Amino acid sequence: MICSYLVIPEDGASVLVAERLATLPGCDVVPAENRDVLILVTDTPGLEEESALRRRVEALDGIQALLLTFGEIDPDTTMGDPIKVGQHGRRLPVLDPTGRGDGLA
Amino acid sequence: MTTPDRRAFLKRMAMAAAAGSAASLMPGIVFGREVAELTERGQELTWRKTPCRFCGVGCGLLVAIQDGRAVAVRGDPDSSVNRGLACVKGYHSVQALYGQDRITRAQIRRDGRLVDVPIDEALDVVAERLRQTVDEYGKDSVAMYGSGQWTIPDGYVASKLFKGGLGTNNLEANARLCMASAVTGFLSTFGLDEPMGCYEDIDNADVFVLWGNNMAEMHPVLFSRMLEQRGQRPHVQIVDLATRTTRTSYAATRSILFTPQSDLAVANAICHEIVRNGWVDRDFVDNHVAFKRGKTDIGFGLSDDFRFVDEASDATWEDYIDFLSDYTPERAANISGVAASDIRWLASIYGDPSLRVTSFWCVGVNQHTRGTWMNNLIYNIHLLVGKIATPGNSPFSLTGQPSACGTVGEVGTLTHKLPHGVVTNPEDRQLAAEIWGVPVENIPSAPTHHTMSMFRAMDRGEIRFMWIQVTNPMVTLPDLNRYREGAEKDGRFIVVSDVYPTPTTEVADVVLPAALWIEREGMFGNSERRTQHFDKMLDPPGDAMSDTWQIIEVARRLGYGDLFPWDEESHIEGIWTEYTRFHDNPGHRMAPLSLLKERPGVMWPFVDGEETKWRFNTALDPAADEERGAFDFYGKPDHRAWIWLRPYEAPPEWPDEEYPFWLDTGRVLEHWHTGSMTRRIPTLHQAVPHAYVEVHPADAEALGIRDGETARLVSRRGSVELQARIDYRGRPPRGKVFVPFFDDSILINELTLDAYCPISAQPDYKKCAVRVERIRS
Repeated sequence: MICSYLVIPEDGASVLVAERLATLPGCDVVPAENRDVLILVTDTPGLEEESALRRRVEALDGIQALLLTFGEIDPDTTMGDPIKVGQHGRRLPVLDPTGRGDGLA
Repeated sequence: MTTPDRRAFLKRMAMAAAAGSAASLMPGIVFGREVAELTERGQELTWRKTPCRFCGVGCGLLVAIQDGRAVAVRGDPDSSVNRGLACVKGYHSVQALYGQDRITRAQIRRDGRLVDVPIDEALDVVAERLRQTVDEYGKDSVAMYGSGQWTIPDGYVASKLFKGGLGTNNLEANARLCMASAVTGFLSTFGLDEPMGCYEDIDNADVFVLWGNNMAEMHPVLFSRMLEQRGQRPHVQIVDLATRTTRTSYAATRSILFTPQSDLAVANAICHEIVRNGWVDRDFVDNHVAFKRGKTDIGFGLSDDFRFVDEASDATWEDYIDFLSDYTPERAANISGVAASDIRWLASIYGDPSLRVTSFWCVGVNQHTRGTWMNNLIYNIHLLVGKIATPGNSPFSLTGQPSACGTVGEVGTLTHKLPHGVVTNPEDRQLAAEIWGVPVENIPSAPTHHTMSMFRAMDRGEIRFMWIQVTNPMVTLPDLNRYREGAEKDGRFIVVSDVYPTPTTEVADVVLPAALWIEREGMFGNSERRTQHFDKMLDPPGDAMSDTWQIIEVARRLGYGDLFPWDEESHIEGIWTEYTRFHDNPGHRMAPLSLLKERPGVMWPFVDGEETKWRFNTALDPAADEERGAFDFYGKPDHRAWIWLRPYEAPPEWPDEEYPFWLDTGRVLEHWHTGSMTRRIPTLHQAVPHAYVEVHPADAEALGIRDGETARLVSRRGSVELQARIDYRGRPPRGKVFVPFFDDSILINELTLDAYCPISAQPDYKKCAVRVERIRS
């Protein structure tokens, strides 16, 4: 799965954040030349791995904001995965009552 | 598997998209040669413009098409709406085209099961059953129910077929559920629908007051523009007036919570303080405002035979002062829970002549049993201080759907409306008859059913045939059990045009596969009177066909071919040319199609090659008469805006011993309405896979419910079981819970109450009484 983000570091943390991001697997980092902003492009096998990576990025010190700018549109990996929501329109038990949001929240 | 080439291509696109967004946010930003080259290579792709499919903000998107598929999305930097930004739904929007269970074949129910049939056969059946129903039960036994996601051409041909051809006013749209109170608010105060301002108000306002509007999730790009303004101009304030703490509250300068329904009292108390402190703009009020009373104690529309018509009677300034005397800050504080000092502070914000104030609201105000009144009351505040129709001074009603304004408001796809005016006006009927080429007698002079009345009529058997397009009422109707049972009764024939299976296709007798968004040509109209055209960029899958063309095909089978003389290649142009004749006046003139194709959108009134950004301002609006001074509220016969004396009245259902919690329903950032599209976008689905109930931590503790456990919600009408969340996205106050409605496996509208505003007929999804039960494992 391919995604890109704009990373806004905290004041003075740009270089440190870029170095930390570059050590994470599947991460390409391009810092702006004239602003404290980084482009982060992630390349992961699928949704779960992307979510896990995003959580690791969000947990790094020195990041003020992480803005998603691109989500992969690839029929071989993510596009069209069937959504198992069960029979529509009938009162059903929650299918995944312990399911949690994966990091966009 | 993804090929290395394709993966490298996607990474380049991802990098270019980030660089483009950065450039929009921070002009002049430089990322070096590698990114510059990528961006240039990205420009070699053909990027085509379209408004976003989700929400009423109307962000401009650019979609890249390669080998017959949409392969990338970015915000359109040329769009004045979003300036290159997009939200998470926008960036993932094209994935909604490619869900695996996309409806690609027509289906007919046989022996209880939907079976695939050729689309011509299905269209034949639709026409035949419609004709049979009219013959057997009369023309008012058939109905069409559309949507604020209809394109303008969809709504136009639906109106022409039903009102001009079949001769019934049984035409409604789901915008009745989201913005009808905004329309009646506009009409009762100004005599004309839709906001007087535009999104440029955001760049000019000093203070934003959000009335029950979680813009951080529902209008995220506009919210980001507000935050940007606050970053650039530190004195800018964002005030969140709400009934629960949300992401908007957390980002706001100040968050003020009020008890559900009590916004009526708060708004009147603000006016009380404006008057008491002498902050009224006397010159503005004397020259441009009239005072009116309406009926009071007006009911809630809960019975099938409920009827209501408001009546305006003249009032004076003295009457208004007397009316406001009931709304001291202390009394409003008792009703609302808002501190009297906060009410005084709000009044001082509106009353300070040095501050430009924009108020935003959406369904928090509109889905309200006194929704029209609340719209009136916000206008009252702005009118008292003359903060209206100038840059940054704007009472601004936002819409939720991409074309609630364009298709429902402007085309008039509601029972009482025509593309220009209302069915009760002989001149409006005459104009429609002339443009449509039908005898004026074809167009009935009386409205029939608004949405709730229409589904009640189907339950009773007065409506026997209903065609539903681009909406999912078997998830969205309040008190849902009644209306689903009504739709499933014998002798009802339901046609559903949609792109994915939904609870509504489950009750269908015929399902028609619909082309989605950029698989056909069309236009949307957003919240700021901006019409936005998009081309057909992709072929729809299988037999899928645009909603416009489905209606034309059925109309021709019914013998109304003369009304729809266009061929498939050029029908959108033909429709636009005909439709814009309805609005050929300085107050509503629309841009030519050629210009709509060039630009990301054009605002109406479009007069002498210029958009009108602030209506009613005689210096800026060519329809306004300069001889009337700085403003001309030409929608009213007296050329004045009306301040209404609208009191606080309690809601029909209130928490009690048996059902001690308020239930509030709504949306989340990642999902569009009932989730039929966004739940098929893996990233969005995984982000918020299921509906949940937000509970205050103290209430959860008292109930013995921990975060993530399953709880049961019970109202007088139904119950659901779902996951309880504590301090997840938002926090309701004690005694209140919130549930999003996007999840069709957890039908929260089985619990809601079908009470509605008697003036707008818009239901109140924001308050009913429930109890919360712990489920022991």
